Amino acid sequence: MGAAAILFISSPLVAQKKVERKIPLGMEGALRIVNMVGSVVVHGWNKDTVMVRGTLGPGDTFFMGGGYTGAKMFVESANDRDPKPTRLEVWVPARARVWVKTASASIDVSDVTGGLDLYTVSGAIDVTGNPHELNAEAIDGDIHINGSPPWVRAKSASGTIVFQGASSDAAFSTVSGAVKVDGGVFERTKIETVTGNINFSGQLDRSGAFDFDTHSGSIDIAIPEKTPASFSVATIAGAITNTLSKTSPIPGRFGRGAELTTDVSGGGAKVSVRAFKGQVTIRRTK
Amino acid sequence: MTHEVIRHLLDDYVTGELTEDARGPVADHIAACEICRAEVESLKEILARAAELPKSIDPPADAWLNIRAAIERDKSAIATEHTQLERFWRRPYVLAAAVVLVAVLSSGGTALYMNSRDHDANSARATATNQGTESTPASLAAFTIEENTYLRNVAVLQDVLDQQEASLAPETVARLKASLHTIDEAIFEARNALARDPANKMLIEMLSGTYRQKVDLLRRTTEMTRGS
Amino acid sequence: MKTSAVASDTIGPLPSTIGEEKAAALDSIRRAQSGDVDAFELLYSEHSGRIYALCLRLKAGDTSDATELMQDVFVRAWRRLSTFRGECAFASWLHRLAVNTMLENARTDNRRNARVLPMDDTSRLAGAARSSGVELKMDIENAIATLPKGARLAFVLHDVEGYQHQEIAEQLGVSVGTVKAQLHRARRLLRERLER
Repeated sequence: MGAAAILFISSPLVAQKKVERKIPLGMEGALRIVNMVGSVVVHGWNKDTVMVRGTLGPGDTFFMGGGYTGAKMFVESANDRDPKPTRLEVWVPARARVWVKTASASIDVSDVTGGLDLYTVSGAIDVTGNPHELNAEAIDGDIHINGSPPWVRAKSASGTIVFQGASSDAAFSTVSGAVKVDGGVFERTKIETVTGNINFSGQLDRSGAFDFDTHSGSIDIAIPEKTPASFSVATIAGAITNTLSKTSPIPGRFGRGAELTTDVSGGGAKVSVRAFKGQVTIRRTK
Repeated sequence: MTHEVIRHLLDDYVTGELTEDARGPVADHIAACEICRAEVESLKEILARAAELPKSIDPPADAWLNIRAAIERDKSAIATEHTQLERFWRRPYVLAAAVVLVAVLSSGGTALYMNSRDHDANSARATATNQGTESTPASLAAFTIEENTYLRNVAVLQDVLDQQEASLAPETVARLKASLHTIDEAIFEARNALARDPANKMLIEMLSGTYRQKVDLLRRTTEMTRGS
Repeated sequence: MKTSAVASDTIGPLPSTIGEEKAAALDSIRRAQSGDVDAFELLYSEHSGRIYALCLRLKAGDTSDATELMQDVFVRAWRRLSTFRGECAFASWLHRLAVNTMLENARTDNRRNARVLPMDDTSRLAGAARSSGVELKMDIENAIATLPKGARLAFVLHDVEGYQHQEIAEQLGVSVGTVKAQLHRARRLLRERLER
């Protein structure tokens, strides 16, 4: 069994075709990448060239074309019903606007400072660096962002969203996936889930606005000491735990739920928390 | 430039896309070369005839009827929405909840709904007809239109998704259905709570937000699976 | 796309000023966007001839395919009407939608291949050409229908409909070089076939 396994690995039945291409693309050009299955890895660099190296799935064809302001590459599958993985690794001018679409292929982007539009159904999205604008959407893929895009939107239905960094305009949305934010300074943040748990640990700009909405996920908000903030928390059927101030939650009508309005360190950042049910906790970062 | 090279430039020459530098030599060559001259003439003729083709041709008379029928099917999704939804998701309790909501609102919840905080442009409310925001009991009709717009968006999108389901992996379809089911359960719970506490502005806002999430998820999925 | 006014074969009442015409068009669009099917029918009457002509040529003269495609386009237009924001002319928006719809349908529908009209079967296009009233044009319509798919798309979009190379490349998802090559091929083939 062992010998047979080694034999299989060392002599693939179908040779995989390699691809290597380069085309010029302006430093702020637009690039579109479509690869349904496999992986797409993108690196930003400081040349006005797009370079791609890849390994195509058997029977797949690779297309690339375009001009100095905009280019496109895509992979066409030999059999749409059973697409084989193609791995693409792409270098793009760092300030480019990159648009990627996959079905299950993972998307990995680093060092791009331009704009990113990343769409996948079930692939994982991983972004490192500080794109100027980042829009990441998945259906059941996880999204992981490690950086500080000033403007970011991330949506997944059943995937999780993890954000480590800072942002001045951030919105994260899931249905059942958890949202975990662990980072720096935020100005405007909107996080909503239906049943996913929300964990937020970060610094709030004192003139900022923060919205947390869930139906039944738990919400845990942790802010550093001496953060001026004004909290407005309400839940229809859940519970509120407040260790930031001495204010106690007021029980809701019908004996369920609770409401809490409290200022911390004199008040400042507006934080609104709405939960239908589930546990809401507001506390200091440990 | 040789004749062989110039032959490949004739198209661009005729359509005026040659650079300044090239035009001269090409024109000179054409004047002296019978083959190229003939080719240029026939190219010009083809382009002239192409440009003269009728830009408009009457379609068959019954085409509009078919289009109208399809549109009416979309619209009647409001009245018979349970057929559309059940066909795919089998959730009869959604219709029941809608009935509850309409009953609740006829008792005065409308005013609160209409005055409540606006959500972003993706809100189903924003896509509804532009009704005034002044609230009177008569605006129950206005709210019903918005609710119906939401249901229509959902029905149309689910129809589209229906057709595209084949292009998604089975696990993804299962997880997507699970997500939509999760949202529907949340909607159902919120509506029941609203029935018991119709004056609850926050509940209405939460409900509106959850509707929006559903429409957004359906829209995103249909766009993503549409094809590159 | 060509922006010059194109004389349509259907003549309706002409508004006295361009401003009025634009306002009337926008009004129909807005009403259709709020669900008025009759307003949408007005839009259909105004634009269907143009769209049908495009569909017919994209579908190599096959009237039933072209009709189906056109119907598809208008139903999609109805569903997506709210996404039209007036950033371009409605006709252009519709036109683009038609090309996109054709490409998407072609991708998902592998049963139907692009049908090549046999050289001696002029019946399908005869009706279309007759509405223009000039027998001579029947030749080139048929000839276009016999072109291989890529060449036909490039020719119809560029030389008949007036799109630019870059626009066509974007819509078809190919390079500008490919578009030019297909155009070149289309014109050569047409020349051969028309000179027979």
